[in-house]
Amino acid sequence: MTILSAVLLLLAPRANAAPAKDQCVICHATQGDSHQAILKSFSNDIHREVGLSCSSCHGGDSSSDDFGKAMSAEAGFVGAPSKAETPKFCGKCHSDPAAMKKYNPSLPVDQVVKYYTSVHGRRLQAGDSKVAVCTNCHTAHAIRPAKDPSSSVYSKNIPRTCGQCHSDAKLMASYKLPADQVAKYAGSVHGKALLEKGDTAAPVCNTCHGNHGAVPPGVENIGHVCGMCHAHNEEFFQAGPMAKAWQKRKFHICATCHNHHDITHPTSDLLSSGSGVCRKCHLADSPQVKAAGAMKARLDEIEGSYKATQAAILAAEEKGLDMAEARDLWDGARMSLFQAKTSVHTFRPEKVAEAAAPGLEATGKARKAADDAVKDFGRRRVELGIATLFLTLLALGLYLKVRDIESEQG
Amino acid sequence: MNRRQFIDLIIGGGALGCLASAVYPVLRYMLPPEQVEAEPDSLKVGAIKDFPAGSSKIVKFGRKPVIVIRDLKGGFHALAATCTHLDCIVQYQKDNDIVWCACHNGKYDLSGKNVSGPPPRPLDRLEVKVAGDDVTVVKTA
Amino acid sequence: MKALYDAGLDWLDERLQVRKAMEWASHKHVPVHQGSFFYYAGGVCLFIFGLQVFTGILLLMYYRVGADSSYESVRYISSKVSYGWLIRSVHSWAANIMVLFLFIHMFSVFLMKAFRKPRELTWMTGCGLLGLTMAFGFSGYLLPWNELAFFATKVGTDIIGQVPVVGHWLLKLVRGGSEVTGATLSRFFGLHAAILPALLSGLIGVHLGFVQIQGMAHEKDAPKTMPFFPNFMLRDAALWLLVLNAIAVLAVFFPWELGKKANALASAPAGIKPEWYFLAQYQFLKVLPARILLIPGELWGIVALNGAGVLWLLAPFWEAALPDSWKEPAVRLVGWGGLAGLAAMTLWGHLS
Repeated sequence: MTILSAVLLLLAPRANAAPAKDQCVICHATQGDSHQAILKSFSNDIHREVGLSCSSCHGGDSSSDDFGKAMSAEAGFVGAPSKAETPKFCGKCHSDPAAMKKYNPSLPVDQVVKYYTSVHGRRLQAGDSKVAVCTNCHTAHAIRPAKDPSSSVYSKNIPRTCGQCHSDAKLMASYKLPADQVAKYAGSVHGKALLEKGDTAAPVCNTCHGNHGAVPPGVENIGHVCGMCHAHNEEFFQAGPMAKAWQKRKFHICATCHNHHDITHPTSDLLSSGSGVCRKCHLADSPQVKAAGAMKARLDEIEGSYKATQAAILAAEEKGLDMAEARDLWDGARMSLFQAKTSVHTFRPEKVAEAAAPGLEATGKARKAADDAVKDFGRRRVELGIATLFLTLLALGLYLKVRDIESEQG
Repeated sequence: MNRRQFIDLIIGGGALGCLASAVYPVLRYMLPPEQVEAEPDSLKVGAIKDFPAGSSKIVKFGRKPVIVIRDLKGGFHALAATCTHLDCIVQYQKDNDIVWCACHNGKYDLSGKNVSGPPPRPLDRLEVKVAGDDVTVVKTA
Repeated sequence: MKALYDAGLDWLDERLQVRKAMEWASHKHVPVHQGSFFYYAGGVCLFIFGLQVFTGILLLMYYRVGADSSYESVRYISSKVSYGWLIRSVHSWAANIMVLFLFIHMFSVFLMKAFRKPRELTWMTGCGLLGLTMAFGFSGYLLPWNELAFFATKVGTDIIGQVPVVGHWLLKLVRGGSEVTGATLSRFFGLHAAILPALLSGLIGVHLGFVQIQGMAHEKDAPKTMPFFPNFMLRDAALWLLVLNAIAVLAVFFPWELGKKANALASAPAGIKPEWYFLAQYQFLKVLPARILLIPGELWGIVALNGAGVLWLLAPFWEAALPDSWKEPAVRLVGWGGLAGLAAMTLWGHLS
């Protein structure tokens, strides 16, 4: 009874709305747990928040307490849609600009159209009922806007939401698809940024694959997709000597070297003349691999200098020395390190050197400042030694004086 | 030299040494260092002629980098130059009249509002005051 | 040389009767016995106070009070100004050493029963000096406006809010608002750099005046005495030099850290604790149960601490009222017990 009244209370229309008696709620609240679970989750649904109720989607007459009448075809009752019917079911409003204007005029109305262009949508049309429809991602009765952290489609929750199916090895095997994408993503630089550091700007499944029109980006487009954020990398690559060869061989422009779901933080080892990615095509003693070696050397130099400077600053700070300015310089070098890495995509060692130069200069200065401070710290001890000598001398002199005076006094 | 004179010598020498070891650091302390202020409230960033329309300049304001922009219409803007995404230094893109971060393609409008890409927050704004020929950046209260 | 010295002395004597003062001073004697060493503790406190005034004035040359400038200017002092690190570290270390010597001075006076009639007022002014010095420490700790100072001040002043009826009002008075802000900083700075130095200087004058008028306790019953001038004074000076040297060593080997700038919105760093000389009281208040007989435990704690303070302040009066055979054990019990209790609570606070 208390659960029932709590549910009723939750479902009670907002204070200023007229207290309507929703017979669907009253009756279904007395049914089994599954009914009550739906009522409970719907209490927090965005549709309920804007004033919609059961009958808004499922049809029927919510004012009638005769369930035969309320849920009759004459009253417009449509019940729960099958999977194949779901896109159309949601599209009743979401594909209708006039309907959406009433609630959220800025929301697009092309989701269903886009959905049918996706792999999910095309397979659904071909009669496959195992694919995802609206409710698989958005839930049926606990729908929240994508910006709401409790939403199933909030960026941090998306890997889990997609993973419901895409991490299911048995299900994926029937499509000859791998089921390790979510695991790979979670270990990638993007997954760590999103899931560990909480950077909600980091890309997640739908950033590259699209939402409603979800498809793999494909060879032609992947460069642009990555280039949305990694603009310079794409620009340099496309203008560089490698782009044409890549096109001819139908290589993924980014993924060939960086993988796709398990994109790890790139290190200079990618350019290694032994095991680096360049060796996939170029011979060990080719000028290209030599150029890669030169770029790697430059990256290693600035990265090494960056780390050594950090260690020098920390060593000085451990002595209680203020290293704020050295830290600022060091911080500034990070930008240069970043740009040097980006410049690798020009495949020209001199460009990498050019980008690394200001960073090397800054780390050099910062390191000198830290070393100087430590040296200065050493000088303090010498000066303290001198002062101690004088202080001790004077104290000793005074002590001897007192003894002299006292021996005179007897 | 007798014992008494020797002790007086120790005391005299010691006292002089102690005085010097105290006076020297104190005098050095009292001489102001080159960088006169710890954290400025305002900073002169140049003359108007240093800023043709559609140009920008990164300056250090205290410890933080600040980007001073003169837009195509001649208006001045000053924003914290550290991108709110991953702390890269932003730049002014004359062609689009926006502030851009090269690291992950983040974009801000000239009022500092993050308009596209990954930046989660706007850039902090500073005031630009033009008095005569001087362009000065002032911390907003 | 001797003639010049005599002429100068004559000149001063005609105007200020210095020979009379010197004559008087030559009769001043310090008792010599096993505990004589403790007679130097008070002098060390005086010396360090002088050192604090001196380094404090030097710090004022660069320090700029304000939520936007305090931290920055202290950072400037310790990183940009030549020997700024030295002046700041000496000031911070000396403050701690001063409190330490005040405790040594106070407990030795108590255990030697030097507070007895006619020295009740000297004892009470001494207690006042301890209170002022601790206020100095508390207010000075906030001035760099760093994270530790901010939260220590927040926690420390929170206790004031627990005082019944007027607590809320007192808290506002101390903080200059209901929260620790730039306004608190301004108040503490005024207190630390103007009000407290004036009060402390005046009270030191009174305290020393009383000692001069009354002479040293046990001067009569000690087996031996030594003249204050020059014997004691020279020993005093030698010890001051050693103390100064010790402070310099601490400043060089353990420069006082600045840490991060205060940020009211940041969460308090783990294990935030007040300075060691407030730790015993802090720990005491912390371990009390939330409620004792329906009244908040902290309130009991505040009442108990204040009661103990009053008992300590009035020691010369209740000790005099005790039967003769009780006096010695009572002083020993209260003195050593108090010392052990403070040490134990401080250690507990430090370790927990």
